[in-house]
Amino acid sequence: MSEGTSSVSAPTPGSPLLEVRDLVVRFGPVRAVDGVSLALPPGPFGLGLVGESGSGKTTLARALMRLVPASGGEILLEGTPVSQLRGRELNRYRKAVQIVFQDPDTTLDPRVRIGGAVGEGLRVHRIADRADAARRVVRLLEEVGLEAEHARRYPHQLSGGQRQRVAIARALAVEPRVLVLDEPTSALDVTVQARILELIRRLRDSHALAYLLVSHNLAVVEELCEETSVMYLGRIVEHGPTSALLSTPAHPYTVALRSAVPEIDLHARRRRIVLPGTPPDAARPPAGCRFHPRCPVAVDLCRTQVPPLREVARGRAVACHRAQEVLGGELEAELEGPSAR
Amino acid sequence: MIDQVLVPRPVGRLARLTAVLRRNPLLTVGAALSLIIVLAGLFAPLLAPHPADAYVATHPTETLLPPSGLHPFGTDQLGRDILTRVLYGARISPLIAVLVLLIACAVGIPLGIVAGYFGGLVDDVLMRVTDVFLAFPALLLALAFAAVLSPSIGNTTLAIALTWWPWYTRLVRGQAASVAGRQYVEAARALGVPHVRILLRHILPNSITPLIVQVSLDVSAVILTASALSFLGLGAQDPTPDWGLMVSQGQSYFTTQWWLVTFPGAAILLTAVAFNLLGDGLRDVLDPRRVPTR
Amino acid sequence: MSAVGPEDPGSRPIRDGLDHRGPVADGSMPAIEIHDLSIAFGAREVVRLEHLEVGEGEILGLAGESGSGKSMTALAILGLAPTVGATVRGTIRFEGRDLLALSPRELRDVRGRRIAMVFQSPIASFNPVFRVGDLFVRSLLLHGARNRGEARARAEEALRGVLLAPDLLGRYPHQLSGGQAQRVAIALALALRSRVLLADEPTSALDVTVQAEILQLVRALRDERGMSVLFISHDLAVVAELCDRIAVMREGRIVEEGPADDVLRAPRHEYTRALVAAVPKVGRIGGGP
Repeated sequence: MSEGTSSVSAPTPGSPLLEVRDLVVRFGPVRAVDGVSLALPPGPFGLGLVGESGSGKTTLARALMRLVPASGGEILLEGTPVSQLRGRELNRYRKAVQIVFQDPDTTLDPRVRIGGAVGEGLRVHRIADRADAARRVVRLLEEVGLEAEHARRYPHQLSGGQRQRVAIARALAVEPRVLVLDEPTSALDVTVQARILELIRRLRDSHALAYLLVSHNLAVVEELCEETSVMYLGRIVEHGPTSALLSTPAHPYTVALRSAVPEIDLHARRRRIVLPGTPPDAARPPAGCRFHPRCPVAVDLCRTQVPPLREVARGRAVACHRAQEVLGGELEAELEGPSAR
Repeated sequence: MIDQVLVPRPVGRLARLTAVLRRNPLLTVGAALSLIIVLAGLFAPLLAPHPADAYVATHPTETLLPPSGLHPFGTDQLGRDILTRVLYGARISPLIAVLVLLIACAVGIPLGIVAGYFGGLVDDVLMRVTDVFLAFPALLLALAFAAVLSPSIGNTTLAIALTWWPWYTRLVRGQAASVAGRQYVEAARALGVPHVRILLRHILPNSITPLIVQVSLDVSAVILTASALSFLGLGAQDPTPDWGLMVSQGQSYFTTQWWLVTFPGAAILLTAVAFNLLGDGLRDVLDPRRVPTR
Repeated sequence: MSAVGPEDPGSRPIRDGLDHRGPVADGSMPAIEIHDLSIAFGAREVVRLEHLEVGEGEILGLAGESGSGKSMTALAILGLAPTVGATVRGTIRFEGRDLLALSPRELRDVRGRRIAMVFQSPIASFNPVFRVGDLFVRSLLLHGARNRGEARARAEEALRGVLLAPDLLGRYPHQLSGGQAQRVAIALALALRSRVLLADEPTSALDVTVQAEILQLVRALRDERGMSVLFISHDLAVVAELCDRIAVMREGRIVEEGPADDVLRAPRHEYTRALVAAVPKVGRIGGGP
């Protein structure tokens, strides 16, 4: 039963390429994803999904890839539901939606050469025969900034950044329309990360990619995504154009998240809002608004009633009873000061 | 991060092998010995002084002669040269071992990776079947076989193989289950790679390393088992120059004509030790990330 | 059994101001002083530090990417470098003694007690067989507490100091969240009254909101107890927020060193410049796809 998740008016016209409607993913009693709706328009477009551990963002990404079964709701590719697909149709979906995982150290089979890893998709989906495949693999490697001779190497002979490039090449080999990037740079050094992000940006333009970028790093999301959704404990708490969302957040969690990001730039420093307590146990979520135990501005209503995801401004939706006040800046002092409880 | 720190290790398999050989004299001894034994069996017709004695020839006038220049290991109760028979025996034991382990792998590996990868019901069913076979001691099964069929090398081989494969299934299954949870397998699934291909291309290569070690260690165990079965009369039959059989036949003469039992017995012992050392050493070689203890 | 219960009753939101920089080094004896440190694996030298010091009551940030040698430096200070097969030469002065010249027994007294350590993976650093409380009591008894009662009391006080409820002492390490475990590690430093805190990527595995708490905690340790801190991180922004001074390492050497604001605002070395430029910043002008 969806608790009032109204649809968000997408700023771009036309039907979305990939859509998620009230998706629920359950592991036993735990609802890792609890009624999430997203819409990804055709590329080039980047949709950011931000959240911390326990938010369910990784589970959502894996559910999109049909790696974990959905317990409720639906995933649609160009209007066609995909949750029940099997066999050849499922394979067609897999060709259209690909994923790049987080950890470059485990994402490649250590016993398979790079060329083989990148070309596996080509063979499975019969995109190219053996002769053609070799050429395509070389082209893909060059496209992600590697060289033809890397095809003969094994993963342990490459650096972490190079392995992530291989992972990207592997995903691109099947010519997907949607790319899911699950924390693609979190495990990399900052200079390597910068280059991978640049690569993603370049590929986005050259392939007209539509991607879902899952990350806990707000800065990365801001660089690559037009719109962003913020997840907390299995639910979307805020959604909107990325720059607006980050400059004028409308949900207290987004405010805290934004303020917690450490800054190099002295002038950009701000007062840090440190959230009390720890992220609650997903098996026993709090009643009412799930964020209320840690929210500096929670009121009685928040403890009992789940706030629906409501549009507060054009293209912006928030699930908070006091969203308008947060957005209007009226609660700044309270958010930064000691919590009123 | 500490796991970024690497002890510099020699590049390439050959360099690593040489380094290990140099560092582990026991391994070198084991490898050399195993090689000698295999070669001895291979070239037995050329090395043996009295090749005919291996199977059909008997010399009633030269029975039970002690070791001498003509017969370095003496002769047995039928006058056959023991050195010759020991050399020819070196063909039999390793052969049995190879056959047994081949069959055990051929059955155990596919069952193991399927059980480990799919898990759930498939795993449960396969493992229960495996458990049933695990319950049989090799000896009992061989006895049953001998009772039903005629005792022979072939039947012994089969009996031992039937009791061996469950261990390999177990071993591979554990490994396969662990591999199945790794991200590159998930990536393959996300790519749409069919199960069979995942099993053959990703699960299998990454699951068999512990098995390789186990197999090399098992060579000596199989040899011992086969010898024991032959000793009991369940395996090779006369005139086959099987070491276990020779020990069995020489038992009654042991107190006076010790050479009938001692040389085949020593051959069994030596072979078992040699392959054991080899197995140990192989484990070292196949584990390149092990920090050498100083 | 859940890893985290309802919100810990002892925690409150902490407000943080902007000027938190510690006292400027005033020429007093540094807490740790490193001279001519060389760490090598056989013939390959991986760290070469001519001079580095952590001032009394100062938070020094050691920044660099993977392979820069910063973690090896931490290991050397703790006398743990030989355990990974490295040879160490040079001098590391602490409380008037050269750490590299100490016997294993003397080192054991220093390590963990006078110099407290916090690593990236707190769960891995705690023995999973013991409860948190046992860990504290054992360490405290080993390092000066007279009896279990006193040890227990100091443990509870330390936990309160890091805003954790004392009942956490009854839990096993796997029952703690990442942030709680790190706070426990810091609490241990408090309980043992360590002079120096050596933190190697303590927040890299934590959520950004939890990270903010831990950073706040480390700063409080210095402000209220005068602890000197060597903070190692690959995250320049974190180092920028927390540290008074920064030393940037690359391939085993320090390429730049100085007050944090100076180094990051006007980096002189091109590597530092490249690092600073590579850090994605929120709200950067021109940002966005």
